[in-house]
Amino acid sequence: MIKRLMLLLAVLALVAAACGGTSDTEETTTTAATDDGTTETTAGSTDDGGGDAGQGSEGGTLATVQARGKLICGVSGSAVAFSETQSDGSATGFDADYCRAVAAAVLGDANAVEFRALTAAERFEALKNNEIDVLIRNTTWTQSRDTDIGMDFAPTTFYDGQQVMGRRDKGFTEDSTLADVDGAILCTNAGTTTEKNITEGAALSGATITLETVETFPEAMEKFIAGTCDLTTTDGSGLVGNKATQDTNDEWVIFPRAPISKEPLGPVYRQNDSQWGDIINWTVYATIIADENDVTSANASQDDERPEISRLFGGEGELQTKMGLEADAFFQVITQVGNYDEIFSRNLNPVGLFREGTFNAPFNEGGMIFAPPAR
Amino acid sequence: MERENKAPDAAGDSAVSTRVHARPPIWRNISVIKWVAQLAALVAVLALFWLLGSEAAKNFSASGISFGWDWLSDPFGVNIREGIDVNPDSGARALVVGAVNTLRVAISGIFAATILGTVVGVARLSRNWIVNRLATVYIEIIRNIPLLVQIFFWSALTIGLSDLVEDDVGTHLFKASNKGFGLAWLFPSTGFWPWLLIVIVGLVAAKFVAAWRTRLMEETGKEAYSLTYAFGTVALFGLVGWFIHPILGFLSGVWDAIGDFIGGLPSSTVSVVIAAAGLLGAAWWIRQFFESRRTPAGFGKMTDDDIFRIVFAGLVGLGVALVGFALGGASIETPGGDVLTVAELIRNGFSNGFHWFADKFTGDSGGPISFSQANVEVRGAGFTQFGTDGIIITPPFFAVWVGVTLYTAAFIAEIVRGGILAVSKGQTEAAQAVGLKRSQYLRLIILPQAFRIILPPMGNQYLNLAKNTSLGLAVAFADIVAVGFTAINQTGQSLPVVLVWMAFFVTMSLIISGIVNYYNRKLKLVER
Amino acid sequence: MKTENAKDIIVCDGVKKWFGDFQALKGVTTTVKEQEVVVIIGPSGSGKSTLIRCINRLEAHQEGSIIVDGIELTNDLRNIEKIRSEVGMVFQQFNLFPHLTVLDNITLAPLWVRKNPRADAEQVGMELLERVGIPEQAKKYPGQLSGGQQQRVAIARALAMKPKVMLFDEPTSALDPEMIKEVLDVMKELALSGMTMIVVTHEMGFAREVADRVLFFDYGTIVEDGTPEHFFTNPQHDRTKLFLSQIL
Ligand SMILES: Nc1ncnc2c1ncn2[C@@H]1O[C@H](COP(=O)(O)OP(=O)(O)OP(=O)(O)O)[C@@H](O)[C@H]1O
Ligand SMILES: N[C@@H](CCC(=O)N[C@@H](CS)C(=O)NCC(=O)O)C(=O)O
Ligand SMILES: [Mg+2]
Repeated sequence: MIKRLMLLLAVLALVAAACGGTSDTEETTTTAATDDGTTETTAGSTDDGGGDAGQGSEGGTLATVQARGKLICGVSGSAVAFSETQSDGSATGFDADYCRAVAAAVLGDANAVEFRALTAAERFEALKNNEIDVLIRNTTWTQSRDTDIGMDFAPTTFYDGQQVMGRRDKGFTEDSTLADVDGAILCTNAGTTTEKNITEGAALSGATITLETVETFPEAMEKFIAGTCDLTTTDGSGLVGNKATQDTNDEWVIFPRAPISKEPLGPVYRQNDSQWGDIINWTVYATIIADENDVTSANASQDDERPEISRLFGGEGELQTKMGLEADAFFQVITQVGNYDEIFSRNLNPVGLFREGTFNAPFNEGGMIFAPPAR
Repeated sequence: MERENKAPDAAGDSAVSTRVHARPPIWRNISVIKWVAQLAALVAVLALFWLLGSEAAKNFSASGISFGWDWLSDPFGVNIREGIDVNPDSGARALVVGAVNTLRVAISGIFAATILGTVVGVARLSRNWIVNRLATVYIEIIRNIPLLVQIFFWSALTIGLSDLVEDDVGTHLFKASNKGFGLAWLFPSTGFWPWLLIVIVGLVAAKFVAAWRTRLMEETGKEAYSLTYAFGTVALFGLVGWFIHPILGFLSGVWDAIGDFIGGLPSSTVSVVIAAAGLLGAAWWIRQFFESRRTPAGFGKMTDDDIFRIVFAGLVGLGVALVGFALGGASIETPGGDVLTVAELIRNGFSNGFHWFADKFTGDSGGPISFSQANVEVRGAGFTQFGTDGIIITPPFFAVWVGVTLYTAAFIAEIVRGGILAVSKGQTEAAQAVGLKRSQYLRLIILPQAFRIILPPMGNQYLNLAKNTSLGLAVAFADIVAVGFTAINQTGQSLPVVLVWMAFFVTMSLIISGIVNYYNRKLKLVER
Repeated sequence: MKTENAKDIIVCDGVKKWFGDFQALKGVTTTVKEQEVVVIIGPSGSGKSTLIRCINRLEAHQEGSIIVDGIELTNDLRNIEKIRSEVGMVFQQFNLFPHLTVLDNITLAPLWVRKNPRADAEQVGMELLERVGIPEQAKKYPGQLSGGQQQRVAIARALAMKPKVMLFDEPTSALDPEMIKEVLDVMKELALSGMTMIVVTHEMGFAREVADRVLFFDYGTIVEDGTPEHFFTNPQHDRTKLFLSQIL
């Protein structure tokens, strides 16, 4: 149902801005490398056999992806700076780059990714139904998703928290609190932790709200801009991104200062496929380890003398091959996509999200970005 | 050639008589085949369900995903945009809120689309050029744009309206804004129920008055205005009742007494009543079925289908009776923590119903109906919103409702036009030839026949409309589909939610087609 | 049947009728007297139906005049309604009302147009059904009757208004041969009872036996007008001769 709705949506281009950025919501994208090294891009549906991604248990997702020769990665496609569908069908952003990192690790080619744009409400079904191999879509790690809903989570790539956005001319400031939303109509997108948090949070602070849940966050923004919704709410990163791209006169304000929830965002995969899980986990860790050691896409070398880097890049032992990957899998990740800091800075600095002083700083600088040792 | 030559021989007298009376072998016996087919279909359906069920269960256990119904009673945790309860405390409650929203759109849409569609359909046949063109343009535009696009259009249109501002605070007969539409409406007030009772008595009285006037007309041959008299009677009761309804306040005690009486009955009464209703219902149905097969020439012969129906009706009756008694045994824990049998719950429900009714007969002299204007107020921390008075149509509701109504009306218009055209020109001519006036033959000849033609396809449109309301998902309308998706996302229980959806839509469709079929059967032309 | 100086009940004078630019009636002038039985014969498309449909205004003529029982057919709605209730019509396709019982078909107009009491209307209806020989079918629906029975109901329905004139447009053409007779018998009985009748038919036997006058139509005009005797034995016009040679 939603699929059809979304497809029509895209075709009719009725959804204006995507979390403020591009106005494109193509449903799927194939970016597959051809043997001559050029990149061939096709946009469209799943006619290329990519319809059935991975397998729950037998065979494993890794085998499926390798046999297929490309990774099918579920993203938002309309989350500013995280995953924005481009006119050529590919996607850019922080989440999209992690899709590329996984493809580089598994297939040796960061461009062997088919992006599939999913609404928040569709994403877990898509993963469960093997429509995608991995879901990297601003997804919060929660207990029920991890257990009941049948997902498993990779390490958090972005520590976030939910906030609310209102208008300065309605009297809101950075110091406004949840109590100040009493009587408002709030919009957010369906199928999120957001809708639950705000219901709970408003009740706790004694505010009576009317909650309108739309399909995608760009629609919530549209209604917020039109005034149909007095306020809009989602992860702080989403609000910052939208404000940065759509609010040139600084008329909007994001509050409260302390987010109303914890939203650790990261990649998600089907549970009970530990080989595949390890690959995703260690792809993330590899970008963090490289960052911790100041190894970047520019200076990465397989001749690196430092033992941990050497091991990570396949110089010694069988760490990667035992996972079912090529020995140089993570070397490919760093050279083709970059380390954590590069991925972060490239995508998120332009909209005003920085690591310093946040949980997303390295652990040795007071943040929470930390990787276990590669050995 | 050879076969043809043989035919006359085979048709010889003796051959025929033996053929007719000989029992055909069992595999060629139509009545046996029919019965076997019915049973086979039943078995196949059951087997299919069993297969699907066990397959699903296997898959679920393989992927470690739980399948269950706990979420129905667990907290829902997400506010709903609009409905009978915007803060439902359980998944089941949330689905009920969504279902009611769906029904609101579907039922009001069906009414509106029927009226609009009929008007446009008749306009399409109008000899007035402008009216005719307008209707045609409407139909062509609406039919050729996908419904989803239209719903988006209406949504975008409301969103584009101006916001409510402080100057709007106050009451309004009608107010359009990007927060939706507010309009004045009539609501039942304190005296409503006693007044309604008087009006119902008036309706019964009107029936007698109408019958009396009709008899008068038939006896004297003079126009006796039976319809006018009937309306007058109802109006009179309504008007007098408007002022005297407080005198019915004493009924409060009567309802309470009835409620107390029912509440004091042993719970087995419920089982007995249900069982009796089931059995008597089946008996009544079978009886009237026999009646319908009775012709002046004697008893019509029963087909195998008929026998099947009778057996089926009997089994359903027995089933209901069994359920009735089972209810006495099944017990449920109420939210209050008491453990009651279902029979007791039903009994208490009726008892409470009467007590509820008793409360409505206060003898209060307030008017039965109150007129309430939409109001705009400043709420909470300073948001200008519609208040609770009048009727507030939210932008999502508006978009879906207008979308499905206009869309379906275009199809209904074509059906109505086709239906009227399908009544042959000869009917009009014959009616004219016997001297009937235009208004008379439209009412007596054309419309009744057109209605029969229109009804079945109209039923399909009603079903479409009801199902199309689910497109409201795209504009944030909190229908059963949207609420169900929220439930799926918060709990991961996709299969149970899908089952609930299916049960809901199938039930709704069955009810709609049941009503349509009922009228269709009643109106069917008798043919040879 | 025709009394000597009976009064004129239908007077057509130079009646012309066009369908678009096709002229179906090219100046028809004739007079029908009370109790007269006039049979109209002619090739297909010659305008027979058009003429009798003009007589009760199912079609409007454009030139000339038609006077029925002293009332001229104009655009005056009152005249039209008056004439329609004086003139009964029987159609080739019966055109019974399928949603009403046989009896209701017959009593409909007496009830709604004449405003007769139902009991009276039903009594008259039953008498008429008896007259056309199918009283036992009163409670059935038209769809349950044979073609011949339906046409007899249609005749009863027209008679229920106690019309002064009965128009028949090929009443037997849609019937199987064995049913034609039962309808013709009813029409004969009606003619004998003194009803003024205009009958479009191809039943030459009926024309010969019952008609007072036969009109032969061709290309929208009356080509031949005379007694059946004259028409069948001594036609004046070549066109008539040719027609008769084809059908006899
Ligand atoms: N409503 C109409 N519109 C246009 N032309 C018509 C119409 N009705 C009749 N005509 C034409 O007028 C002519 C006379 O038609 P009419 O029905 O009177 O013929 P008819 O003599 O009754 O023929 P038939 O024996 O076939 O019934 C025919 O050529 C017919 O095509
Ligand atoms: N982190 C929350 C919310 C995820 C979410 O939907 N975030 C918004 C932030 S912009 C988003 O991705 N919107 C883009 C879209 O709806 O396509 C969750 O996992 O439930
Ligand atoms: Mg004709």
